[in-house]
Amino acid sequence: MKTSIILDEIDRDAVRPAKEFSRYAEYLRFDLARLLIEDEVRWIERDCPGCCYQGAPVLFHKDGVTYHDCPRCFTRFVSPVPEQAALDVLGVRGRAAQFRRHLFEQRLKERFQASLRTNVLDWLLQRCDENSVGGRSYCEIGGENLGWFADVAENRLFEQVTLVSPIPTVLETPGVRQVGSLEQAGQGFDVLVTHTALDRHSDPDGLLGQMADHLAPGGLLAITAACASGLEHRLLGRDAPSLLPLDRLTVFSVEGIQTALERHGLRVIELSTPGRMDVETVASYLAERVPQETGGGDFWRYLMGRSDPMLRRNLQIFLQENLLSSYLRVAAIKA
Amino acid sequence: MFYHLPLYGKEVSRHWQMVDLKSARRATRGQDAMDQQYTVGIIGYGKVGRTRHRIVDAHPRLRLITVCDVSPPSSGEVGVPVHTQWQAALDMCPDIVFVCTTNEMIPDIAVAALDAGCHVFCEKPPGRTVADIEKMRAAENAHPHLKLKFGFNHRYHEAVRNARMVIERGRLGRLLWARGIYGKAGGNAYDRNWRNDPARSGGGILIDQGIHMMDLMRMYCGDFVDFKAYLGAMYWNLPVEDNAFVMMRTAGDRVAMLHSSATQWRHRFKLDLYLERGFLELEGILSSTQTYGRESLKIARVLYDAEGYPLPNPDETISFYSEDRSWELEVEDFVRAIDLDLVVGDGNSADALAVMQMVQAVYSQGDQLSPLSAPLAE
Repeated sequence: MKTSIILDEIDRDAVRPAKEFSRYAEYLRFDLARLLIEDEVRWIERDCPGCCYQGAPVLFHKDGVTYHDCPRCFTRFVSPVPEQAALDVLGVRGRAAQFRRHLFEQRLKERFQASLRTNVLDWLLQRCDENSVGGRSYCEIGGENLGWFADVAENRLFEQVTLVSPIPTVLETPGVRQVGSLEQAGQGFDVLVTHTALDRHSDPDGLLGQMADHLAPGGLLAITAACASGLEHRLLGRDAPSLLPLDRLTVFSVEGIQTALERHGLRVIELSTPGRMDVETVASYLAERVPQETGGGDFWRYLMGRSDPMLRRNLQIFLQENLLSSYLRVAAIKA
Repeated sequence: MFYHLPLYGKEVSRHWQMVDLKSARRATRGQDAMDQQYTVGIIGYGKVGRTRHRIVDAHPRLRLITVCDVSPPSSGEVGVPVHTQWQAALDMCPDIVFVCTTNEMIPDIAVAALDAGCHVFCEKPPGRTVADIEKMRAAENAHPHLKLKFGFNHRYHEAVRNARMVIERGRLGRLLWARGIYGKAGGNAYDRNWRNDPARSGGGILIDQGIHMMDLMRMYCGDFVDFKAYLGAMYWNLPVEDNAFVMMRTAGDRVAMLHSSATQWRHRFKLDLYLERGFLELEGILSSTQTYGRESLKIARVLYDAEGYPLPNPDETISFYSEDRSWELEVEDFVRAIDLDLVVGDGNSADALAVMQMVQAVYSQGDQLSPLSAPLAE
């Protein structure tokens, strides 16, 4: 198994511009509030999606939902969660989802292209090359970030390209098929990809099982997700800026995602946390206040207060190397 | 700044299809052979012989039946009959013989094992001279149904394989040059080690350790036709070199620079491979001693400015590898070649001959540095 890190000059404001991000967070809270007051929406109790531990203790409450922290695999998750049908509706018509798509499509596309898409695409192709994964069929689940999907489709990297998403898209590339659910997508994919869809799903373990079923033997499952092992989540806890409940119903730890994948017969070939924003995020937070969930806030405030850019860069590299960043990238092969 | 999208193309899909067809064909042909068990003899039971024993034990279809060494372990320790004469080990008719002896013994044992009808896996280096490997190749040719392979296990390290894949896929363009360092600090009683007795080893640090790097450079760059080198015992009081500085050129004008050293006080393995549109840097290699650092592969793709000129210092992705499966993978490859009667892939006798020709070219054409006593007097 390998672990990868990324050394680049990513600009936090480019990926997560403060003004837009704040507005997006407001929309998410608004959508969540609607779910909370809606009588018809069922809320479902669940065990740890990583290791199936039952009875994980409550960690904190945020925006009306309850986060638990698994004492065995350190995955953080909301329970109870809204039923998936309600989340699907929000994914299409919710204010936050619409704003997010608008942001990706219109505002961030070019900046993403330079800083993120190259890495993701290179990553996918390298893992395929290294593992002699077939080049016939590619399926992306919940592909909202159309930039990645468009690159794959337009460059004809695969013979068949399928997008699983209930959202009407503007992508008009010949040979690309869009379906509303994985059941409609068919079986035997060589490559199955999901960017952050697991985080937003009410039953990520079930979704992982489904994805494993739809992979061809020897096929590659590539996942990007938030990571509960990362500095942002471990240090800031409830206050972690990226911990927005509807986007982070589950935050797998590195231990949790590995356990879950192996449970579904997948062999993990890469487990990395190549996030580049923990340090900047924490520094920005600590410049304003001391975190409540940690007694070590003073040390971190002192550390982040030092204005040496190399120190921050080296610290972020250290986090990546040691699987302690808040963004997760996993590649697994179906036996 | 723009992204080199044309790098991705239909070529990729075509290649994948070819791989699939090949695998399918082999799968049908080799189904019966895949069930066969092979008996194994290990001749030479030092550190490497013991490692081979572990790999054989872990392989479901290999069964050790004999071990041979001049300082033999007890039968109780290894669980099989033990001999001090290698001919006695061959008399037990193993299907496969691992030759893990000192260099000067390799050719005679390998030839005798092939003549006795055994498949042969030899450690590197393949003898001491080009004549040694030619002798083994002659025996191999006389027994075309038998397999002969050499333990260039570095080819099977994951970082090395991944780098090869990137180069072969052509996503970063043509390979321009390579630069490698492989060195160690000698070690305890290094000056008395058999590896530095030319009659037994054939040379110094270059033929012992540097040969791995030479093999990798040839694997990535192709055959070298021109050599320039400085060799010498710069620190250790040895009749062989403790440092070799080598420059090599292929017919296509790819250049590789190698420094093989026994005065690398901090152990180091580093191989830089620079291509037209990016670079690969291998650093650290997983080993039994764990002293060469974490095995890593850095990959970077050059980005270009609006006028198409390369921008310096591109983004880099570094992958770290956590397990060394090179020993088992090379044995697995060997067993597969036997199973399916395939031509031996990596580490075949042609590879061994080519790398020994490189070593010999360096030894014969390289300039000798002054021996230890002279520079100290300066």
